[in-house]
Amino acid sequence: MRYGTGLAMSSACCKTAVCIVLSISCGVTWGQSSPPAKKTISIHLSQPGQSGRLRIHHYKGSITVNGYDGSLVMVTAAYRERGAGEGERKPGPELSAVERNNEVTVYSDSERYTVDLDILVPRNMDLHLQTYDNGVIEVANVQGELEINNTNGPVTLINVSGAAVVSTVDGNILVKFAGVTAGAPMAFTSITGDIDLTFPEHVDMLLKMNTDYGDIFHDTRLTVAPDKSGTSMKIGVLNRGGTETLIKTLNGNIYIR
Amino acid sequence: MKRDPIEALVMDYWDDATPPERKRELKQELLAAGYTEAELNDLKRFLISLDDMPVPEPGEELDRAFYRMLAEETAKAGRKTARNGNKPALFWKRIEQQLMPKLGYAFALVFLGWVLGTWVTPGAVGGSRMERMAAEISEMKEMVMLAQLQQDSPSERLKAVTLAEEWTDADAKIVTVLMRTLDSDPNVNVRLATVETLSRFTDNPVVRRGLIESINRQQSPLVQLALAELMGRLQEESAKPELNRLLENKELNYAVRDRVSHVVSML
Repeated sequence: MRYGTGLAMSSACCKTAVCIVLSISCGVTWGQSSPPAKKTISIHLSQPGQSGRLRIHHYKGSITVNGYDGSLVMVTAAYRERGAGEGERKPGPELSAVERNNEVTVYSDSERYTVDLDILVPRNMDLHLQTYDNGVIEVANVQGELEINNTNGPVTLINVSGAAVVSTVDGNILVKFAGVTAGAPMAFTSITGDIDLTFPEHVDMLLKMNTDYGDIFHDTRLTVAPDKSGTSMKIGVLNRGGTETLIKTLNGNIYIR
Repeated sequence: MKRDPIEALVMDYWDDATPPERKRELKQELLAAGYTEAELNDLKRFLISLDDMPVPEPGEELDRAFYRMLAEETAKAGRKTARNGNKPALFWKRIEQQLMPKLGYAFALVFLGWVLGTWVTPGAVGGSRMERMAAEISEMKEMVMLAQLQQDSPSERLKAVTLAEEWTDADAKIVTVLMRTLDSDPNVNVRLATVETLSRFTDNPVVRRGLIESINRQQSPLVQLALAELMGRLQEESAKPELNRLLENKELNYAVRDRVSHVVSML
């Protein structure tokens, strides 16, 4: 699937009249176009001040998201240094976005070229971010539900609150929670990556942990016991226990702080 | 019989208002008709005693009944006149007239409800009622789970999948839904949690077969790994062909490949 700017917009408009296409209606601002070529778009939320959602299905490149006090979603896209196998390309990446009921979906030509996205969002935002290759996903200062997948790279979430469901194959997962939503299950899984989670002092959690070739490290807050139901899981209880959080890696270590 | 028409004459005879000449005539006639002097005297005493019998006077009771009826009529006629009447009595009257019919209806409805209730719940034995309640609760849980699985939020879907973990056995519908989740949920971690949940129902041959068939439908190395490890734990030999097919996949993650070959060698 390819989300070329014009194509994605016109087909979306044909399908639903409700759909608001933003790269035009909400003002496209082109970055000062000297090298490295960047493109920036700002997206108005239809209900500013209320919690929104950002959805990016990225292929090659990094996604960096920072929460800030504004109400616009601002996306800057830049081509990475041209890789050895990549042919000629346009001076700037293709970039577009669609907003509908406070949900923003960002499209770029990351399937063909490595595109790094640098994004500012209002703090109250759910994120659904996905990238496959050649990049990292970094999120800071955001509150909401975070669904993050990075197949071949790390995921780092700093000062986030809400609930997170994170998965990588070959990347480390590092999360520092400022707060967690009570009653919302979470999951952190990887094949070769380490999983390093820091929870607030008084959070109640039940952690189901498993690493085949790694170790589990934790501080004294956590009591760990084998799972009684016969699986290879270890059950860790933080304070009074609570909703289940799955932490699973094959080769990596698990750190609970 | 003979005396009947003559009795009137007897009355006349003893009536003080009758003139003496007429009395004499009457006496002649009565004696002629067969009355004796003694009989006539007896009759006289009887008539006097009749006169002496007390005639009931229109008493208090009659008055009360009359005023009650009057009050009822005035109450009906309107509040204006009723206000001038006996207040506490009218208050009760009003209660009787306005509240009693409502109370009557209420009781009738309660009774109807009770009758219907006993009819509709057949054989309300304690045990079967508990079973039915348990069935209803699990049905509701199923509905909640199905609704949660439709949610956009992966955390909600995780909740749905782990909710099913608490059930001791899953019916065909739940198994189907979990299988579909395993094959098609967009989030890796939800699919992974589904493997975990389904692993509790592996006594069910449908679940076992479904899990085996799913091995090569999975793209995520995490789910491939979880399924292979589950097969190892179950010592499921019939999974061997599918696991071998997985090993033939050139794009298989190297770490997963190691684990899968290990599992296959143990089966």
